[in-house]
Amino acid sequence: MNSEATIFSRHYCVFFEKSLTTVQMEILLREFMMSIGRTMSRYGTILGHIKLLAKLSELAVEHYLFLSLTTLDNVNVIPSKCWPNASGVH
Amino acid sequence: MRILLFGGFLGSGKTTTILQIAKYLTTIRQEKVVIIENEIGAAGVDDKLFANSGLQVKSLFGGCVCCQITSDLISTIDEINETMNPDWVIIEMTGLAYPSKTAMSLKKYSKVYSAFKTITIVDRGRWSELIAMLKPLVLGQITGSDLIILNKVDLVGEAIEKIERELHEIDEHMKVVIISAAKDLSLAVLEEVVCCE
Repeated sequence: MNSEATIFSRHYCVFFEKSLTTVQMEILLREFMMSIGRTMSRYGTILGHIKLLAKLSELAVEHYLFLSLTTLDNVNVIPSKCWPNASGVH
Repeated sequence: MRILLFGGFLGSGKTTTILQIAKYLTTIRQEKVVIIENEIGAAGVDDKLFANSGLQVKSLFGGCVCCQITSDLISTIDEINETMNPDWVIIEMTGLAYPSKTAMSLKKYSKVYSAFKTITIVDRGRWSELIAMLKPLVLGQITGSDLIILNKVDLVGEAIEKIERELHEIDEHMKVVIISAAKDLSLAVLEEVVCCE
């Protein structure tokens, strides 16, 4: 294993003042991923892997969105089976 | 019990590829699969994607199986063999691990498998940058693999022929398959990956 590797792992709870649809939430999460990626990329390439698992609440463990980024402008998004459809408001 | 050991740099597409391989084995071939998920961090993310797809997952967190927790991997494989007796164990290594190093340890200390294959996934989209910045790691992950999967061929990146040529400069007999794991893998690719002696 490369001993120079650094792993950052953080867990945040975010509360929104207004209700958001899952589509709006996904847009915010994509922007968040890109903002991290921009600071860590070299000519648009991230020499690592940025992953984000967003859950609707601590209780809804099966309701999540997984986001992954290795190349800028190319956020990969995978919803869980239980992730509410586009019209869901939370 | 056969073992597929998947390596490859961070974000190369190991999880996405394994999901398709495991689904093929469980749904088409009706075989039993257990996935061992190794992550360096204390908490995992990829294991949730496997579990969400109805796959059985054993997590090994908090260290790399190629150099820090090798004995944990061997005892986990023994335990899986005894308690679950699957047809396949698929191991997803961390993106910083050297697959051939783990393969060597498994071949030396584990006696419970009938066939074994080491597969390294290469990210076409980042090949040039990774070779420029992390050449020893990238080449170390490739060397000694039974199969190379050149992934993300749908994305912009270095010419595929050039990457293949450079891979064959490392080992002229290296077997390379070209895929985009974001799309459905062909039956030929799936069979090539699970062809395991």
